[in-house]
Amino acid sequence: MTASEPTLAGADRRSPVLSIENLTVELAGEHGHVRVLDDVNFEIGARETLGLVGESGSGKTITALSVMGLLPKSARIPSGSIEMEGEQIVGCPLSDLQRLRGSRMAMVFQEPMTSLNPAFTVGDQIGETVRRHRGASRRAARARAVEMLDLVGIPNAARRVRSYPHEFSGGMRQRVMMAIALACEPALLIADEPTTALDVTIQAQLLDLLRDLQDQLDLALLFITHDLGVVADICDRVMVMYAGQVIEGADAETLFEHPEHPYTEGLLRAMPHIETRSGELFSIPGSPPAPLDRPPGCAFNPRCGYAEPTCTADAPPLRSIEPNHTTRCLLAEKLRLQGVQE
Amino acid sequence: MTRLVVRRLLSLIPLLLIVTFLTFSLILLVPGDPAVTLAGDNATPEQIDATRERLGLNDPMLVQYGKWVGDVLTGDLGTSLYRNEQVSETIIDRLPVTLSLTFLALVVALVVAIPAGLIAGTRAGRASDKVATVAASVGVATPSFLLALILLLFFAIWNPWLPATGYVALEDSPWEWFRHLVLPAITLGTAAAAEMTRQLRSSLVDVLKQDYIRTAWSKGLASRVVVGKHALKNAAAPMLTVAGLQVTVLLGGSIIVEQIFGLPGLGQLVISAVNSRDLPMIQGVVVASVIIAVLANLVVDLLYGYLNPKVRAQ
Repeated sequence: MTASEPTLAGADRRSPVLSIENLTVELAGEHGHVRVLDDVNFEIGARETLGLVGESGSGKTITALSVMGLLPKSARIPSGSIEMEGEQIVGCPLSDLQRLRGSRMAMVFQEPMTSLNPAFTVGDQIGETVRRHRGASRRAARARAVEMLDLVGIPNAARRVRSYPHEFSGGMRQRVMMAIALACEPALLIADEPTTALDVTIQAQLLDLLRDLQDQLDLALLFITHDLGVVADICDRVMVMYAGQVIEGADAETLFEHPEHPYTEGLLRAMPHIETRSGELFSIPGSPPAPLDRPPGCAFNPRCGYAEPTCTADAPPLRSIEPNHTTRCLLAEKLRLQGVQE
Repeated sequence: MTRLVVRRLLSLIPLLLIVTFLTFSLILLVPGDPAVTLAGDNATPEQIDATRERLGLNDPMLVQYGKWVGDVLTGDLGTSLYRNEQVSETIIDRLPVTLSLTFLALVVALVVAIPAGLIAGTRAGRASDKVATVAASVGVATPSFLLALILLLFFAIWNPWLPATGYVALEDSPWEWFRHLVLPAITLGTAAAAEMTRQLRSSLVDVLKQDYIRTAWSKGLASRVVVGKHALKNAAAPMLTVAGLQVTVLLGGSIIVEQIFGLPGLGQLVISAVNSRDLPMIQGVVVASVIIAVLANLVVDLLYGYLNPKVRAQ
């Protein structure tokens, strides 16, 4: 077994690890199918981190679950393509998904307290993946589990493999989840709000760890969060989602300094800053539309302070406003939106 | 773990005292006088009195009970009032029959409930689930005497494949032992099977919604591993609790089933003992049943610790 040596993921670094085109997802509801994800496009390369930002219900998690093939049974993908290292995932047989999951693509979930099986030791849960995908023996899998626990910074790894999830704190459980996800050195890691349930100091440690692991394993990282502070910390590129659509995409620095969509500006203003601690926090008025109740035109227009009559006419497409900077706002050129400086 | 076992065995003592005291009081409240029967058909009132005196039936209840407890502490469960047999010997004689029947009934229940519960739980809402759920309701609702008669009709009378009554000891002929117990075990185990199927189905439906099941899918595990390993071990704990409770229910149910199939077990023994107010015998059977029930639940608790590591830690 050469399990201990990280191998290069993807032969050609320039070809994307994950490539999503025109992805649309619908959920079965009482009144027929409802569109919850609308025409999403992106690519992630090795060592690259893409952040997906938005409020709950904006489609971030649906995007992640589509990639893993873990959408609920009531969901369907009427159009679009998801290619994982060139392999089509939309409509592929379950056996293909089961081969890719855990070996080429892996996911860390939001709820560390409930995402581990309480009835099995963490060593078993890490080693299981290695046995499944690499045909490792029990003993080799156990050794790999110790190695992974060590890698994710759990002290006394050799002893702790025999522990059960309830014997770990939330932060430690999330490290165990990472150990499970990365045990077979996947090319893609999807982290769905991995630090949201944890307190701030633990958050910072986990983000550091994630960055280290990304370097060591050449991971393509899809990082889902609603916390722009975390985005600034870890992401190369960011896509902001609203009501199932991507409404702005750019590299992280550009997005923070020159947002080109009023919603992004709102999110940035809603971030707490040390300088403004005396003042009240800004919040975007209203709430996102329900999937059945989308306003005509731009989905954000009822909550937008800059909205003009044209905004309620046609649904605006996602367009390039600068190289590598896309927005769905019709008025982007006219508006001088405020960003934040580092 | 040793502590759990010791604690459980110690708890047997007060439990046995309470249960036997209650049986004792109940029996004395029931009308009828063993002395009359024992003294014979043409006994004079004096003879009856003498018999009563000899048996100690004139003593106050607490004195009688205290004497019985004292004897039990020296290892003596007493002698049957009628049959001049040691109670302990009779029970040891009969116990294997009832234990065999209960054990096989439990096996029947598990063999049916695990696959049926798995199928129903993983296909919740689909046709196979509905069939299993309806079958389980029928199973719970069918009285055991009716089921026994139907089984006897089909498998012993119309098609004489299996013996209708009687018992052969395991050590005499395992095959005959099995043949004699198949129908009684199915009769007794059906309700338990239905109950456990329902329990497994509902806990499985619940477990399959848990986050850790999504994690298991995300690892690329095969369906049989996700369901058979990750879900089943968690769903089995509630079913096990039901199985533990079922042991007591099965012991109670064995009274009727032994009667129908002519099995010389504790059930038959206790019925004749109650009819003749054979107090030492009744008490003996009660003691034996309590011990079996407590031991069965101890086994369940030990298995529970295996299924649920959190319990083990405490």
